Amino acid sequence: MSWETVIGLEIHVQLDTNSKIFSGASTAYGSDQNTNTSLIDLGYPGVLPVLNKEAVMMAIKFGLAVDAKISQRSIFARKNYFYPDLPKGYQISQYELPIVESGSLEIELSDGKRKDIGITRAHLEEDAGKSIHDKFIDQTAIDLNRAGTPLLEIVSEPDIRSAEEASSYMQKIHQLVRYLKISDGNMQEGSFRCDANVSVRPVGQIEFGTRAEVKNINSFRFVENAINYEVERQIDRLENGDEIIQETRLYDPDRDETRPMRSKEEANDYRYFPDPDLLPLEIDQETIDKIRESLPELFDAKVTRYVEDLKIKQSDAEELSRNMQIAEYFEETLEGFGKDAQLVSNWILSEVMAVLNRENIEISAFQIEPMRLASLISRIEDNTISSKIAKDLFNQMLTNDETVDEIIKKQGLEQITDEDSINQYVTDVLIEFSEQKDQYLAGKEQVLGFLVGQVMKRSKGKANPKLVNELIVRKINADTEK
Amino acid sequence: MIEELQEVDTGDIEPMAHPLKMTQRLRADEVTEFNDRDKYQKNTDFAEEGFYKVPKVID
Amino acid sequence: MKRHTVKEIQSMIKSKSASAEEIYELYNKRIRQMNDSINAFISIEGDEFDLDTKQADSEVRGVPYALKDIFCSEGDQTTCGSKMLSSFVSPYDATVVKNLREKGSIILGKTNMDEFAMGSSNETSFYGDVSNPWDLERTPGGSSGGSAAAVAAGMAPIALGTDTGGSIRQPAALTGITGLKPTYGRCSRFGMIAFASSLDQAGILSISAEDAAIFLEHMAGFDQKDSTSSMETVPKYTDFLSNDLSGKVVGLPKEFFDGSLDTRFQELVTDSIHEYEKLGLKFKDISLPNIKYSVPTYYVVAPAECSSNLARYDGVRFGHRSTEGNDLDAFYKQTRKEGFGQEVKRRIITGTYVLSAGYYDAYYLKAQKVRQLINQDFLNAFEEVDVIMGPTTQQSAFKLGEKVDDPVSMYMNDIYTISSNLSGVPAISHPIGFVDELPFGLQIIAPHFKEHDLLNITHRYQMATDWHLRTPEICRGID
Repeated sequence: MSWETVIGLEIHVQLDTNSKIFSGASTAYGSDQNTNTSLIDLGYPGVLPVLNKEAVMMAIKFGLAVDAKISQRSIFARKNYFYPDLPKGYQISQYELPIVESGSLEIELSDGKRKDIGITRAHLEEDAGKSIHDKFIDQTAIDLNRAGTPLLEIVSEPDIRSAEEASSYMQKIHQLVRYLKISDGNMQEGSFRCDANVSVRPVGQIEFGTRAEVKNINSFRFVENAINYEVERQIDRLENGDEIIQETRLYDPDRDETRPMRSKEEANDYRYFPDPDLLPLEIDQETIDKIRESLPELFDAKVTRYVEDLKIKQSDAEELSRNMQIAEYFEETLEGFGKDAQLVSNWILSEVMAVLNRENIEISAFQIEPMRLASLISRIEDNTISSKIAKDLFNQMLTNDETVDEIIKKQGLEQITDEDSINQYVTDVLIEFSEQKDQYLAGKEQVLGFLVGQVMKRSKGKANPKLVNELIVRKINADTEK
Repeated sequence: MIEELQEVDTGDIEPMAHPLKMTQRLRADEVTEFNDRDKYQKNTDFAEEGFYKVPKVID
Repeated sequence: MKRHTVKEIQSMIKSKSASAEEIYELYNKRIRQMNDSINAFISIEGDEFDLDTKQADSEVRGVPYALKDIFCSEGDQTTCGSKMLSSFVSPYDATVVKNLREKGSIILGKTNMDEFAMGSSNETSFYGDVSNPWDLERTPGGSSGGSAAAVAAGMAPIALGTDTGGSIRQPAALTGITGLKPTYGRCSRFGMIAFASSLDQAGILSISAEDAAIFLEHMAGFDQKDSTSSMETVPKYTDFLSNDLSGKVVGLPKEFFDGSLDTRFQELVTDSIHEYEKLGLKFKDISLPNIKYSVPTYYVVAPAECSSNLARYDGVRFGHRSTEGNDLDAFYKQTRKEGFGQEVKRRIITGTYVLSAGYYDAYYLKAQKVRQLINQDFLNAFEEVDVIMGPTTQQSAFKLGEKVDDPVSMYMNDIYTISSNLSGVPAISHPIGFVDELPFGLQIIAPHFKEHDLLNITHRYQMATDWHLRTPEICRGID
C-alpha cells in the first residue's frame, strides 16, 4: 500500500505592535507577571475592547504579500470556552469573515523544484495568557501579560505533501513576517507558533484521511520530525486495521514523538457568534492601495535584482536576502563602496557573518557600520592595503572606532608596492629557501605559494601578494638565465 | 416560545447584529495603560507573587 | 416630604438657600430611615461629604443621585445584585459615572437590582426583593427596581438605571415616575456590567422629563473606550423642552391596542391621548406587524449574549470563588453554581443552547434576522409619524412572589418595551394616572437620536398634569 501524506499548517504569528489588540497595555516581552495587564485584558466587569489600528495594517500587509484577497468587511467573533488563562471565558477572533482570504506562497524544495502552497485565510485574534504548572505545588499559576497580544493566524490549504515541504513553507512564512516587519518571529519567545494538521491516505484516494492536529512545534527541525513521526504512526495504525482518532497531539522534542493531549480545547463547540462589542471592520480601497505601495521588496524580487542588476552569484544573493536586515546592511555598504557588489557580498558573507555567529548577535548589534566597512573595502580595491592586512584591520575595527584611514596611517599598514623593496625580500627568501626554489624549477609549481608566503611574512603582510608572486617568478627566471 | 420564530419568513434579510449602522473605529497603537497589578489584585485573596492561582491543571 | 426635582435642587444651590452638603445630608437621612422597608439600596455612600469646588460652573454640581449597582464606581462595592460580585470593589469608574463625577454630581448609594439585570420584578437579587413604595407588598418592577423605588420614595432626586428589555421604563411605570431609555450608543457602556451587549443602554429614572433632560446632557456622548458608542453630537436637551407640539403626529400601533389591556388601564391611556390632543398632537393608527415576535427574538438574543458575557465570572481574578472543588473543572462548576441565582443560570443555559452547533442558524441567526424586520417596522412607521405611543406595561405593580414560579409569564411583561431595545430606538415612560392607587405609565417611542422629542412631549404633558408629582403614602411624615 502506497501512502500519501496530507498536511495543513496553522501558524500563529504575534504581531509586533506596541500595545495589545484590544487594549492600551504594553506587549513587551519578559515583564514581571501580570504587570502588562489592563482591566480589559483581565476581563473585568464592564470593560470593552477597542481595536488596534496597527494590528489591522499588519494583517493587510501580510495579505497583500501573499497575493490574498483583503476582505473590505470583516467581523470579529467570540470563540467561547473556559480556561484560566482566558480571562473573559472567550477569545475574540474572526470566524466567518476573516480579514484575509485566498492567498498563496511559493516554496522551493531541495531539488530546486518550486511549488505553490495555498493560504486559505489569515485572521486577527487575541492571544491568551500563560499557565505555569511548576511554580506552586497544588496550584497552577496564571500570568496574563500575554493575554490580548495581537495574533495573526495563518491557515494553509492542505497542499503540503511532505515534512520537507512543511518546513520550507514554515520557513518562508517566517522570513516573510520578518521582512514585512510585522513580527520578530522569535520562536523561543512564542512569537511564532506552528500547529500541523497531518493525515495520510492511500495514493489515488480523493477523500482526505482523518487528521490529527500536532501542537508545540517551535522550530523548523521539529516540524519535520513531528510530521515524520506522526505520518509513521498513522500508517502503522492504518496498516494494522486501526482507525485514526481525530485528536490533538503534543509533540515532545525530547522523545521525538507525539502524544495525545488532554486539551483545554477538547470541547469542539466554541459557539462562535459575532462579538456584539465590536462593529464590522471596514477597510476602503484607498487604505489597501496605500499599504500595497508601502510594502518592502520581498525575497524573490530582491534575489532576482541582486543577480541580474548587481551581478552577484545566485547562492550569495539568496544568502544575503534571507535576512532583511543583512540585505539592508549589504545595500548600504555597497552604496558607500560603489563598485564591485560581489566583493562586498564576499566580505559580508564571510567576515561579517563569522563575527555575528561567533558573538551570537544580530546585524543590528554589529560593531562596524556599513560606511566604515565600505571604506575598508575601498582601500583594498585601490591597493592601499593588502587583503591580508585588511582582515586584521577588520578585526581591529570591532573595538577601534577610528576611521580606516586613520588606522592605516597610525599603524603604517600601507601596502608595499614598490618593486625594489619587495625584491629585497624576494632575494632574501630565495637564498634562505633555495631548496624550494629548486623544487619550483623542477616543476613543482605549488611551492610558489610557500615562497610568496615567506615574502609576505617578511613584509609583515604588507606586500602586494600579486606583485610578490610576479617578482618571485621573474627573479627565479632571471637567475636561471644567468 | 422561541419556536415561534420559525414561522417568520426572513428570506433574504440581513441579520441585525447592531442597532446602528456604524463600523469599527481604530485606536492608535500606543501604550496607554501601565502597571496597576497591586491595585487590581486587591480583588482576590488568591494571588501569590503577582500570579493568579487556580487548582492544578493537568495537560 | 417634598420630593425635590433636580431643577429645584439646582436653584436651591444657586440661590444658596441650601448647600450641596445639606442636600446630601437630607437624602442620606431619608435613605437610612426608609431603606429597611423598601430595600432600594444595596450600599450607601459613607457619611463624609466630598465635593470638589472646582466644578463651580456645572449645572449638576452638588446634585446627588442613586446609581444602579450595575455601574462600576471607583472604590465602591459593585455587586450587580449578585453573590458572584458581593465582594467586588471596582477599581474604576464607568464612563457615565465619571462624566457625572467630573461635573460635581454625587453618588448617594448603589441601588438594588435583579441579578445581572435579568428580571422584571427585582425579585432575583441576592440582596433581597425591593418593595414598591406605593404598596410594600408589591414589586417596583425590574431590573432597575431599586433605582425606581429610590426616586419614587424621595430617597434620591434622580437615579441611573439600565434598560435591556424595558428595565428602566417598566419600573418607572410601576412606581409612577419618569424613565428614559436613550438610543443605543447614546451613552457609553464602558463600566456598565454587560448583560446583552447589543441591547443594554444606560438611562435615567427621575420625577420629571425636565430632570432627565438635565442629566442626559451631562451623561451622554461619545466615549472612545466603547466601540459601540455613537459620535452624534449631544444636543442641549433642555432647550427643546418647551417647544410647541402642534403638527407632530403620533402613531398608535394596533398591536399595542389589541384589546388585551384591562379596561381601566385602557381608560387611562385614552385620557392621556385626549390630553395630548389638547396640546396639539395628532394621532394616527399604524401597524408594527412583526412586533409580536419581539419577545421570542429577545429571549434568543439576550440569553445568547449574556451566556458569553457572564463567562468571565470564574472566581480567578475577582469575585466569588468556591473553596470546594479540587480540580479545575469542579472549581469552575462550584464557583458558578454558588455565585449565580436561578434566573441567571436559566438564561445562561438557554443562551448556550441557542448558540450551540446545529442550533445557531435556527435560533440565533434567525432571531437576528427577525430583529432586522422589527427594526424595519419602526423605520417604516417613522416615515408616517413622529413618535409612537402605547402603554408601557400590561398591568400595574403585581404582588411580590406572584410570578416568581412562572418565568414565561414574567417574560410577557416586557411585550411593549422589548422592541425598542431590539431596534435601538429611544423610549420614555411617564405616569398617566392610577388604578386602585397603583400608578400606570404611558410609553413614547421615537426614532434614533430623537430623545429631545420624547423629553419635549413628556415635559409639555407634565406641565399640564400632575401625575408625576403624586407622592406615595410611605413618604408622609418623613422630612
